[in-house]
Parts: sequence; structure tokens; C-alpha cells
Amino acid sequence: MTLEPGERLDDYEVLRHLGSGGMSDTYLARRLSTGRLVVLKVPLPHLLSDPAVLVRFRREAEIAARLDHPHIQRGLPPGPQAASRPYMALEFIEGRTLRDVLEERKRLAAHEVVHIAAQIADALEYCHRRGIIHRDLKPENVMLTADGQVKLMDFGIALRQGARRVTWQRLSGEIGTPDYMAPEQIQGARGDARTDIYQLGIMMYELLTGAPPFHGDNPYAVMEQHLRTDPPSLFRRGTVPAALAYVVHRAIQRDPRRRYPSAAALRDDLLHPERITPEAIALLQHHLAGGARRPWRRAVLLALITAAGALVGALLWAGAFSGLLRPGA
Amino acid sequence: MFAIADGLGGHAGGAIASAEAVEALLEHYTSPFAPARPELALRDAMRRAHGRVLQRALSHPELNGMQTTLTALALAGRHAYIAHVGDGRVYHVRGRDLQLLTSDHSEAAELLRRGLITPAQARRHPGRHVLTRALGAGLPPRPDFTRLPLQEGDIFVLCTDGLWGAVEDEEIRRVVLEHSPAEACARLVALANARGGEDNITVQIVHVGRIVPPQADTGRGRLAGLLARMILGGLGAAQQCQAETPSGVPGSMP
Repeated sequence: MTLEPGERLDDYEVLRHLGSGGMSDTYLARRLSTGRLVVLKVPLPHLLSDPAVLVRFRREAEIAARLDHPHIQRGLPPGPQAASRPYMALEFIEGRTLRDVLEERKRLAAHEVVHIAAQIADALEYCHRRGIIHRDLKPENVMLTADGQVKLMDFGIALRQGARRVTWQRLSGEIGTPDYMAPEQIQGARGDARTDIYQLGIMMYELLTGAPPFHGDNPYAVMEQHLRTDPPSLFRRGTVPAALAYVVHRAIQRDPRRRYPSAAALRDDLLHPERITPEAIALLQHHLAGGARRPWRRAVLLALITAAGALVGALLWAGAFSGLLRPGA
Repeated sequence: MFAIADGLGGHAGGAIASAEAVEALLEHYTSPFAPARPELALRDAMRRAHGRVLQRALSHPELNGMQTTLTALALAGRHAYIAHVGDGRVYHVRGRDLQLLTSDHSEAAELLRRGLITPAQARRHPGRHVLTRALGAGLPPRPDFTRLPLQEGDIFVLCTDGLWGAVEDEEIRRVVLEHSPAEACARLVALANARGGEDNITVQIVHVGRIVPPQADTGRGRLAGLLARMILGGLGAAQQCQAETPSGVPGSMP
């Protein structure tokens, strides 16, 4: 922690430390000229000399300043005083993170998940239209206000499409959980709108069941499952309506081309489940059961049944034939 | 003893961490109190290098979190001993063949080892800059150790990711075989810089000359004999080049 309660930073007075992330500390502060409460995000001191880290931080501030949406934490314009050190001021949101809510309630009801996910999808659609991909959706980064409003936070590793990639050397422990990583991210791609859709799908899965679909002893085991394993089907859970199970499973398809093409399409399915046809649901269920990817299983089964039938037939025929030949028959 | 260290990113402590690690490694490996067997001395020196970086970071809050890679090559008697943490590399050239003796301790390398990404994906993966092991951070760093019988004419190339990230193995092999150590170092660094050279680049090339038969004394005596002959007799050469960047601090002896 680098700032103490009561300390002044330009036009802000620090009230208390809120938390620490991989790159920065956050503080609750008051803007002295307006009296308004804000969140200050300050890069960790030992990262300050790393040019790549500063570029990332500046990008985050730029992205925050460009976004103005009711379901996204707002970035505040810098004050009249020149910034004495790198930091950014963000809207203070009174509420709890989805992680806190999940820890208390374990899982949420289907209608609550629809309500929350539709708002996130709305915020994502807004970002994607401006070429911004969040890439780090998880319950820790979603704030829920007392009146049920959702606010998407932390664009720390967000990407503006077309921007140069900035990577910096660091130790792997500083990277977050791979629970929400899309397969293409694991393979090193920058990701696009469908990457956010995958992460939203994983989050919805967790909200509905109390746990993300993939678990493992170490991060690599989880990554391997994202790449190779189908998630346990939600269609078998009585508490999840089939249309909602369809939305989640379509969002978390391994192949991005099989996911929703846009966050708007996902939101529309969430809000109008009656428009999802039974055929579409049946097809996805069939795919989940492995039908689409393992047609040879059916062929082998058919061949076995045919072979067994032929054997029984042959035995019967042989039996009848030998009976005919038996003396005294 | 030859060593390369690369402080992590632009951390304030990156340059300090790499310098401290190399210094502690040399100090403890050559100490009269070090174990007589080179592999034990090297293990001990790596552990102490880690301790030194950690201790320095703990006593200076502004250096909090500083880390470094450390890759060391010790020649003693008829063997080469390698200790390695991070994403530095040691290549070995014997005859016309080049072989990589170290594994990268990076996320991309780990994903590749597990068959989750292809070699082509690994080359561009952002996880190639994300280390899974380093000196000076948190838990003890678990170095890899390798021992290799030496032959006259063996060449070792020690380099940081700034080189191998920009220059292909085959190019390294060709340059090393076609030029003197000093010339090869300069060409490799120039090649990496010409391709962007975003990272700092450190290269050391070690040519093994005539191998002195082991004497009755300790491994340390044998090392001294070998190195002395390499320098005085002109039978071998060890040279290094370094790109002009602040965070790469190479260490070398003699």
C-alpha cells in the first residue's frame, strides 16, 4: 500500500485502501473540489519503472474515459491540477461484487442470472461496437448495486482492436485464474467479441450451478479442459430452463464460430427465450451428447447389432438344420 | 563459470536483481567453503543467489517483488554443469549439430510441453514472457541441473530471451560455426536488434579448448586449471557481448 488514509493526491483525499490487484492498488477517495466520492487506481510502486506497465495503465485510462454506459464503471476526467503521478479516477459504485454475492448465496435463481447477464451483454455490445474487448470477465469484475443494477469494472487487460500488443515479463503467479479463459486466449490469440461471450457464458454457468464448469489441481489442468473437454450439461439440471441452458452452452462453445456472433444476439435470446426453437435446442443437446462429433460410435453400434443379428440367425438356422438331420426327427 | 541473468521486465529492481544474483552465484561457487563437488557447489550457489535477491528485496521496499532469471554454466574437469531458472538458454554445438540443453520456464513453454499449443502458437504466445520460475520471488525456485561430458571443440551459447525470441536456432548454429566467438556474438546481437530487438539481449559464446586431465585435487582446482589453459594457452576462448539496455546484467568469469 502506497497511500495512507488522509493523504492528498492532487484534488483527492485518500479515505481508505479498497484492494490490490496484479498491477495496481485501489483506494476510496474524496474529490476535494466537489466533495464527491471516487475510486483511485494507482499502479503498484515497483511496476512504475516498467514502460510496458505504464503503457497498459495509460491504455486502461483511455479506454475508461471513452466508455459512457449505464452498466460500465465510469472513468472520470482528470482534474484541473496536473497529475503528480500516474493514477486514474473512477466512478465510486456502492454495492457488492458478484463474487461476494456468490460466496454468500452459492448460486442464483435462473431469473436473476438472466437479469444480470442481459445487462452485462448490453455493456459488452456497447464496448464491442467501439472495438473494445474486455477479456477479463469474472464475478470479481462485476458490481451489483442495491437496486439490482450491474456495473462492469476493470478494463485492465482490455484491448482496443488494432492497438499494438504490449506484453511484459512477469512471474506467472501474478496472472489471474484460468477459470474464465476462452480456448483461443489459452492458445495465445488476442481474442475478439466472441472471447467476451465465452467468458460471460462461463460466468453464467457459475452463477447457475455455484461453480465454473472446469476444475483442476493446477491452472494448466483447467486450461486443458477449456481446450478439450465438454462442460457438464446444464440440460440435466432441473432448476435451469432449457432455453437458458441453450444460451449458456452456445456461449461456451469451444469453437468461436459456433458461439453467438455478438453480445446483442446473446442478450436477445436471454430476453426472448420463446424465440429459441426446439430444433435449435435439440441440435445443441445432441452436439453436447457427443452425437455430432462421434458419428463412428453410432456406426459401430449399428455394425455390432447387425453382426449379432446375423450370428443369432446363423445359429438358429444351423440348429434347425441339424435338427432336421437328427435321426428320429 | 559463465552466467547470464535477466531482471524481470522494467521492475525497478530488475537490474539490481540480476546483478545481485550473478554476484552471489560467483561468490559462493568460488568460495573456499563451497562443497568440493562442482554439482553440489553449483546447487548451493544457486540457492544462495536466490536468498541474496530475496533478502535485498525484503530490506528495500522499493525493490519489492524484484526477480531475475539465472542460467549458469560451470566447466570442471571433464564435465560441463548447468544450473538454470527462467527463460535464459544454453545451446550446445558439437560437430555441426546444435542442441538446446535447457527448458524455458515460461507459460508458453509449459503449454507446449503439455501439447495444448503448437510450436507456431508458442512462438507468438504472450505467455512466452510469463515466467513460471524465477530467482528472488516467493517460493524456492527449483533450478534445473544438467551435467554433460565435455569434448574438445565443444561450443556453448548462453543467451537471454532477447536473442532466441528473435533469432532461429538454425541461424544461431550457422553464425556460431562460421565465426569467431567475438564476431558471432556481435552478429547475433545485430541480427536480433535488426528484427525489432524489443528486449535486452545478452549472449556469451564459450569455446572449449584442450581438456586437462583431472588432477588429484578438488573440482575447483580442475576448473581453475582448465580456465587458465583456455586463456593462457589460447586454446579456447570465452567472450560475451551485450546490447545496450539497462536491465540485462551479464556476469562472466574469468
